[in-house]
Amino acid sequence: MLPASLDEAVTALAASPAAVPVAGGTDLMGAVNAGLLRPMALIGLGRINELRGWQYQDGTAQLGAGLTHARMGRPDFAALMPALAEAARSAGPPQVRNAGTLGGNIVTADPAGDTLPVLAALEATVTLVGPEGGREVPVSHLLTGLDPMRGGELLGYVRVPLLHAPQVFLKATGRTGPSRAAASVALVLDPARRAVRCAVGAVAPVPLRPLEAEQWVSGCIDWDGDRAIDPAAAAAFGEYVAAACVPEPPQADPEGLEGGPAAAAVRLRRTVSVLARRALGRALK
Amino acid sequence: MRVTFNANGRPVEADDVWEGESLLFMLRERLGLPGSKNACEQGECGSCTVYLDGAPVCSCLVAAGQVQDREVRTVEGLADDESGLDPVQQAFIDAGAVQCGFCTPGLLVQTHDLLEREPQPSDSDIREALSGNLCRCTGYEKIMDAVRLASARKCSDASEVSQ
Repeated sequence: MLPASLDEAVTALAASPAAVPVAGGTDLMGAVNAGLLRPMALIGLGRINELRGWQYQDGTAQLGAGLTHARMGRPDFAALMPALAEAARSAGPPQVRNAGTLGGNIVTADPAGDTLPVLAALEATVTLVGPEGGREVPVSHLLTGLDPMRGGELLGYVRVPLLHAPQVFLKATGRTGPSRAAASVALVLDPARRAVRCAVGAVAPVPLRPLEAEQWVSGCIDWDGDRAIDPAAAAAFGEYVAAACVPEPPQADPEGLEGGPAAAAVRLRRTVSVLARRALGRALK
Repeated sequence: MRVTFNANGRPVEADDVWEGESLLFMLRERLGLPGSKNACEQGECGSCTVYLDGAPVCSCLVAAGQVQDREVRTVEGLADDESGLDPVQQAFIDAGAVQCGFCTPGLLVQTHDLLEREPQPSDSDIREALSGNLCRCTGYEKIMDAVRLASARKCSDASEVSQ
């Protein structure tokens, strides 16, 4: 089935509830190829033009769920949503970025999904459309399962506030070139509210917001001046974020077990701490 | 399910296609286009890269039904009968960038796309463009040479034409 509009797609899904919606297919087909999923029917969302673009709407950007990572990486998009563009650019090799979509990244909700910490830091909301109409849900509520998708619903749009301030996305990977994040940090400044918002990706099933660290560091920034911060405060912020998002490492690894869980946890904390410190430094530069 | 689309400029049709079948399987097993290679089936290796409506994608990750009425160009569609091999293909041969040849179809399509968009790519542009194509033989140096060679030839051809 290849519906041409979002309404048609919702109708098609209502008519065959067992059908699986597919957009770019980069996650779904990987699962099918690995034998993890055997769809009876697919509803292809690739023909729905209304979902493939984006537009302004009173201080926010309304992003279609079918926007590809390649599209989000382009300069016009990056000028308004730099962290989202950076996450999209680093999400995979060109072939995957040409196919994979923003909506797919959210619905798949892979712990290492690169756009997810950015959406969490931006406090983005999603529009879910079902047979009874649409509803708006914060992306964090969707990801954490606080307000999950209901049967028959499709993800239509993502609404992102336009903050007109520096935003940074940084990602640590196991190799050079595109690969899965070991940890990622998204950090955005919201000068109107004098706030720093930060989310850590890939270290937990969903992106984590270190709220206390955000609040503390917001108070350390000279918002009326040149937005400078003491380097020691930036380093402390990094450690604060890491302590909030990565569980306390066990005391020590058992004898003879080098690089065990304790060492891994220490390393992950250090990675997150450095990413958060650097992200803050770049945002305030 | 029946799928009809355009492959390398010709209308093609495949019957009895399973919903979860990939474009790659359909090309190789139903349409006699085995140039695109099947390796990881996870989008990691790039050996199945084809153009879909002008953008290179991993054909193993495209559901066959999604291709209905669209345009696909595979490695078989790079050369044409009149002018022979595409300059990218010739450069790969001349630079010795082909060893076992399994990754080559994907690299050719991806390089073709890179040089269409950016005729004179920097080394980092090339590495970025080919970051989703794994080669286990060459160590990539000969492939880098081949892309630089193809770029140089394309640019000198273009300047001859303009003169």
